[in-house]
Amino acid sequence: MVDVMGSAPAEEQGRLLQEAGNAVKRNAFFMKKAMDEDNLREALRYSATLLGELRTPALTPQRYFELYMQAFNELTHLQAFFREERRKGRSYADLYELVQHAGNVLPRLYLLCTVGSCYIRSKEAPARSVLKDLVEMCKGVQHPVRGLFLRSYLCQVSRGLLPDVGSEFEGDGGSISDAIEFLLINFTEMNKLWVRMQHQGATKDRERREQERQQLADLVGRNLTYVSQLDGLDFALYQEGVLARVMDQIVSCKDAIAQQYLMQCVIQGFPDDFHLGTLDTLLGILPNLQPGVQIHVIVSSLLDRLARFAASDKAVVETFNQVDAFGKLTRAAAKVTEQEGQVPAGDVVAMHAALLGFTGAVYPDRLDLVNKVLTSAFQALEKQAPITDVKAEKQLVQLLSTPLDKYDVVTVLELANYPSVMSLLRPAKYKEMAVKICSTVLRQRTLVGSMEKVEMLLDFISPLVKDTEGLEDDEDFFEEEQNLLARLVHQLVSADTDEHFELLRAARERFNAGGAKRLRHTLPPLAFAALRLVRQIKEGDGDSKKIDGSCKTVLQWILGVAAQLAEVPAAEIALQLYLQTAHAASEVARLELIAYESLEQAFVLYEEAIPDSKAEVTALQSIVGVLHRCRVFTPESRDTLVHKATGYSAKLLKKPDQCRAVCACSHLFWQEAAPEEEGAEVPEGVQPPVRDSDNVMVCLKRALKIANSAQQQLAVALKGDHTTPVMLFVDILNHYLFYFEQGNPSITTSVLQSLLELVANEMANDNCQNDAALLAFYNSTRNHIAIQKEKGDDLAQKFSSLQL
Amino acid sequence: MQKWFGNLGQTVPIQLEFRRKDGQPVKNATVKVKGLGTEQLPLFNNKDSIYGEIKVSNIPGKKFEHQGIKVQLLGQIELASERGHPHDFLSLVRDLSPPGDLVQQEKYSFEFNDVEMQYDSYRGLQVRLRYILRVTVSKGYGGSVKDFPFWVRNFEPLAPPATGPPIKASVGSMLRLPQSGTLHPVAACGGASAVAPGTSMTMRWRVGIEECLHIEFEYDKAKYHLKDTVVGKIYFLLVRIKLKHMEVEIRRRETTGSGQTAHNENETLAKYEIMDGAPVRGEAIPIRLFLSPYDLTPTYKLVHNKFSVKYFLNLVLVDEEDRARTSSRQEIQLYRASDASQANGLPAAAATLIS
Repeated sequence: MVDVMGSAPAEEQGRLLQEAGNAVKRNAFFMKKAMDEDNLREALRYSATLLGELRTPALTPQRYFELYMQAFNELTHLQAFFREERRKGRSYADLYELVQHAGNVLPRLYLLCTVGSCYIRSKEAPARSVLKDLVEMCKGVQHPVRGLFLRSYLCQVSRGLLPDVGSEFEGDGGSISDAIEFLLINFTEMNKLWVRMQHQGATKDRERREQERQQLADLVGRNLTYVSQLDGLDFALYQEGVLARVMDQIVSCKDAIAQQYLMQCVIQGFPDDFHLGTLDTLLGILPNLQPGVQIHVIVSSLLDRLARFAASDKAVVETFNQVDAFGKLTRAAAKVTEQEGQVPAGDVVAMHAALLGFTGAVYPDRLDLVNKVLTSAFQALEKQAPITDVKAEKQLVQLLSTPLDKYDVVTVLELANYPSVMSLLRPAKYKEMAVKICSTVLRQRTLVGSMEKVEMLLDFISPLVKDTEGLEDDEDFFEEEQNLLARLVHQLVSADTDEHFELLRAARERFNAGGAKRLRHTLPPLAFAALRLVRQIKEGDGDSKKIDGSCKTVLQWILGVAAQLAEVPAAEIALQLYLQTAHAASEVARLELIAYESLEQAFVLYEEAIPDSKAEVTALQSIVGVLHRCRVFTPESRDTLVHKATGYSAKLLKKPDQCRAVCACSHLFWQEAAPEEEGAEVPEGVQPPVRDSDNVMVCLKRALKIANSAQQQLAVALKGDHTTPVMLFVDILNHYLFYFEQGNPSITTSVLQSLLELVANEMANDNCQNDAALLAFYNSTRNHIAIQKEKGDDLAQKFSSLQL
Repeated sequence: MQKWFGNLGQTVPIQLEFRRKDGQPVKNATVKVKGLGTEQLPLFNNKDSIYGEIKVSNIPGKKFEHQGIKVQLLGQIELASERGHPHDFLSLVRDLSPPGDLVQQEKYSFEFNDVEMQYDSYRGLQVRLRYILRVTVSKGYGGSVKDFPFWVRNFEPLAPPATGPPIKASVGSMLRLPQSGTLHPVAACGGASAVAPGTSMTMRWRVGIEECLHIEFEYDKAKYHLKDTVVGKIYFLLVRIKLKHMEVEIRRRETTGSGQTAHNENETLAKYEIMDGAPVRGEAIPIRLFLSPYDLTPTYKLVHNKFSVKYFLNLVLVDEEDRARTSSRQEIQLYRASDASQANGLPAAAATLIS
């Protein structure tokens, strides 16, 4: 089977081109020689032979183009020669006939075009007639590649010779409609040839052929470009004379590649306002295109152009409205999807994405239109749900993201069809989208402040809130997703505290469905948000008409959350939460009972649920810290709690931990008044600060004892060189100094002095001297004393007697 | 034979000069001679009067005795098959001198008035038609004979645009036309063409291979003058084979004899590629064939019952494997238009352009 396109194998191409090129050069040489000798006949003969090289069927389009360019350059000499002949008195009419004596059609037509261009330029014949003749005669070449190049040559040499408005060839030479006619006929013929390429040759070469066709596309498109560049082309001409015919050709050629390219050509080639005026035609054509045409790409580029047009000139938007651009575009999109039956989902989505972009650009504040687009997208895709095509999915996510970027999320939440479009996604993508929404909310710092919107938002992001059927949570991302969700809780804010509380409650309701593994992440932020709410209520920022005993209710609710958290189980977090609640109850709300309850629960958790000694230490430190600051307790309840805390301290496993905990506990007996309370009455509901110097002393002494026994224990364990006990001593010394400065009567100068000496002795040890951290600690302690001495106030007086 | 006899006896130099009565130089025709390029011959038309002067010289110093001098105007048809026995269809004679002695160069004027030369001079493959002036100086069995050829061309006025009925193609055995008339509406395939709608393409000729290729060849007239241009179009009504190119040939057929003894000789005078590549159904390929570059003569129909010369357009379609898939011919009438009537028309190229 002979390949119709006939091109030789790739390795041959170079050689063939070389040979043909040489032949062109050789004949060009003789042609020029004949020109010099003023021998017209011979010049024509050699030029025809030269052009005969273009008859080769063996070259690929790319190589053929190279050969064509060579021949093209030689033909410019021929043009000059023809002009010279004319000067010598030979008429162009004569020449025009003479070149047609050439026996082979391809060289003949190249020559004819060459003379023709001179003929028009001379104005000896009307441009119109010559152009018409040329474009018709070129039909003699029906070979696609050769024909395309021939017509491309015709198009090129006649450029600037068209009877365009304002051109010197207008008038006798014809009118703009002749120019359009010429270009359109040439375009039509070229397109036919171009399309024909597709159907020639073996099926196996199809891919290569399509590639070659792409390479030739611009030759065809150039005709349209030239039409668009005609000065006299106005809208009426375009609509009546150009578009209709181009569209006709596009549809009738029934070739996907051509349709794709030419639609783009039209859209990119002609002015925006033309498109606006001919939207009906442009869009009406879409359902008639071949199945392989990526209509969304066409629609997208049209939309992009119109969007840019609208952006460039606000006045245009009015015109958009007049022609109902939006409605037409939406309907067109819908129609395309309906008509074709199963349009690939990706295309549908991409088209709607473009539509959305257009809407955003032209009507930035018309949310209803955005919703319409989404509705249309949903309707188009409903049947194909869920979208399984990966690419389509990606594009759908893109589509859904566009409004998120353009408007804030709260606005998007008003789009009724947003979730329905989202539901088209498969679970994994749906979740991805949920993550995206969350991120956007957080990035834009959008506050979601109404019940309705919160519900909506949580609907949107439900894959994060709860398990999705058929979707395994990805361990790697789970934490991250839940973190997002946790952060999102803080965006659920209303200026109205009642409402705010309602939002949190609603969120909790939702979160409950998420199971333990989510609650671990989602409950704490809820509680903390509630705690902040408590502060707000107390500070009177919010208006709390509705919540009865507002703070109490909120705190109770938080306790509930904490309890739930404890059951998750997440004891450590729950414990911290109890403590925070206790602190808030005590220091913000002044509700002793709740504070007590919170601490009690914290102790219970401490006893029952803290897993290891390290966690115990941390927990205990936190308990002590909170308890220290709570001022709401009556002495009795405080005793109980403090007793419990000191008891736990002494029961810690490791001596250093014990020692430090006991030191910390000493502070439970020595509260400081808040600065603003200085000298004032103790506020209502608050107990005066506890100042129990004896118990402080008891604690500190016990700490010293423990430190001592820790030292002995290490010695027994033959770990005498450990510096930890000394560290403890310095630690204790610091506590002593603190109380000394606080004016605790039990800490006298002599007590302190002896401790100082003790520590100094310990520090003399070589091991201690080598421990940089310890040394630094010790030295800064000493420095502190020295500085206090220098201060020259009452305290300095007290310090002055200390000997370092 | 005359020559042969002449060689036996004494010969005398004979010269002949064509003249015109008005004193203008006689027009010449450039005539192709096979293998020799061209030669110039005096050119006359039918009903022309032929004048001239003949000089007959004796051999210097010798008296030449003759039995009379005459000049004949002969029109001959000579067939290759009967070489040496030309058929004279025209024979006129003028006696120039009665028997006598030639003692010096003698000049004789002669005159044939309004000679009926209805046939054109013609040189073909197997037949020629020629006109000569034959000067005979008789002398017993010997004597001198010399022929002076001249060329005759006749003109017809430019034919009016043909409006006759379409010419039906004669279809060869391998070429069969579909009987259905569905292929007929040519205009539908025409689309935009260089031919203005008003111009009627009256000649239509269908060619085809059944179920493979249906072509309609349309051209503007049945009769062309020799400097004319054949303008036409080829419509591809059905294309199921891959064509590579298409040519139009101009063929000449000489026919001698008649009936059973008729003999045809064909000659291709022109090959003109009109299409490159494979068209698809519905394509229309324009044809514009200038006749002037080719050595054509008018169509001659049964010249003196001896021979005919006919011209044909021959369409050759070559497929991808370089086989001529079909070729079909259609006669065209050629005639010679007078220079004056041609000059009245537009130059060929301009004419075709405007059409």
